[in-house]
Amino acid sequence: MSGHVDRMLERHFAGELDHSERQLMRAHLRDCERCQAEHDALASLLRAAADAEPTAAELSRWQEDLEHRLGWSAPPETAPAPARRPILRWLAPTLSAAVALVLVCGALLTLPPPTVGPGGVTLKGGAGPALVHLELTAVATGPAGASPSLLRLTDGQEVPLNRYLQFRYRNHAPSLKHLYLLGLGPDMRPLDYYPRPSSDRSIGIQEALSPRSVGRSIALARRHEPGALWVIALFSPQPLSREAVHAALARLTTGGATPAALSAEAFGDGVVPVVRRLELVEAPR
Amino acid sequence: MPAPSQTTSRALEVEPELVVRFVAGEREAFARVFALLRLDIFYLVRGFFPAPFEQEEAFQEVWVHLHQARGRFDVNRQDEFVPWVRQVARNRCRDLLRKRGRVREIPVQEVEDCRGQRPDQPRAVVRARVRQALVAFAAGLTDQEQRFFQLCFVEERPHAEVAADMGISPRRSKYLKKKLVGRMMKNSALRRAQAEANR
Repeated sequence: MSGHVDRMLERHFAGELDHSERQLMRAHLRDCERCQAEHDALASLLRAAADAEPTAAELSRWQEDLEHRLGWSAPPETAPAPARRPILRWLAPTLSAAVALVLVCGALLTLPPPTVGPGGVTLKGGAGPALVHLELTAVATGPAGASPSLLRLTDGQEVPLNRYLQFRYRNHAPSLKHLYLLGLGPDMRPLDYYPRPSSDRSIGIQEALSPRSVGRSIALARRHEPGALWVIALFSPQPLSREAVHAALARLTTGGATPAALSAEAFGDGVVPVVRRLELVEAPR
Repeated sequence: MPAPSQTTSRALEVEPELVVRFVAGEREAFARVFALLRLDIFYLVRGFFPAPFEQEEAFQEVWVHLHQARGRFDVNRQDEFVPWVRQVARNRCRDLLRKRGRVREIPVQEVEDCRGQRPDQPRAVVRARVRQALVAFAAGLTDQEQRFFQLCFVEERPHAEVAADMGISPRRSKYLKKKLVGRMMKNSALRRAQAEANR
């Protein structure tokens, strides 16, 4: 059912959604009376079945969500650092790679939306009737004239440094009209942004309410260091200023937390943060 | 889960040391206060918000607000901690109603009375009707599904226990739960009973 979250509700009451998925679902329920009524009907049935109000499952879920909101969720397990090749090898970009990057840059402007191939991976939040669907796609460089290949990424996946990272998103929550994209390096310093640092505007994503996804790209050029890359997409009902986002991130990261612990409260009312962790590696030769 | 009536008197006693640690912002202290007062707060929230989704939202807001406002509590007046928590919760519920442009003033006594008590008579009757529909729904399930329904939905046992009891894998248990939730959502008799209960 396009636009509604029946399947997500089933998974919710079966205890299959994680905190971030529940946040997305709740953002939709706030705007959708029909889905809210579905939620309430099922919640009431389950309370009646257990003869408890609230049920033990609800209490445990609420406590987990509360701990996330207060920034007390356990940090994610850090993936072991990938074995790296000697630094000089990736510090020596070839002319052909530079040409390929320019070609890919041009190709990105005309790329069709990526399609899910066999074995393709959809990120969390993208499965089923997603409210906010964020895909990360690496676009490989190739020989001059060759079509760039697309690689759908999962959390924590390794990405060679000579690729472009493309974001695509679809949004089914009418209230979340603005998007702010941000990449953070291992030292928690911003790698790249959209909108650019020179602009305080947020992106209007009303057009993303259509089934066709909208793409934005970050170039993973060799100026980036190997290591962790946090990709953060903030979907917001109101425009977010760059300063406010950075102040919220600074408060978070100076406390030693990782972006995975980002909670909506850090940015203001109704902001839905979607966080992905990737591991940058040197370019294959 | 303990029945609400069993928690009432015990839940209201919060050790002085715990109060100090709660006000200091300790995570563990917050978790203990939450465990002690969660039902108390839930019944208070339920008095303002009848629908489960609204209850959940308000419940979260109240606890976040309690955490943010903890510094305002004077730790020298520890006996007043639980009344203070209730007052903060009540004020937050009123603020939320006002924000949504709705006003539903609940007499303080009514909110206090519903704390920790068994559901009142009309609510119990309504729930009994829904339970009848649930019994009829369960009767239409296979033997294995009926057993699963009992363990998972009535007794609310975790998947590991359900799986061990039924000789199935925890993964199968999760699958069965999702399947039954889906069937409950689509069952017209259950939907009808639930709709009547909401009237």
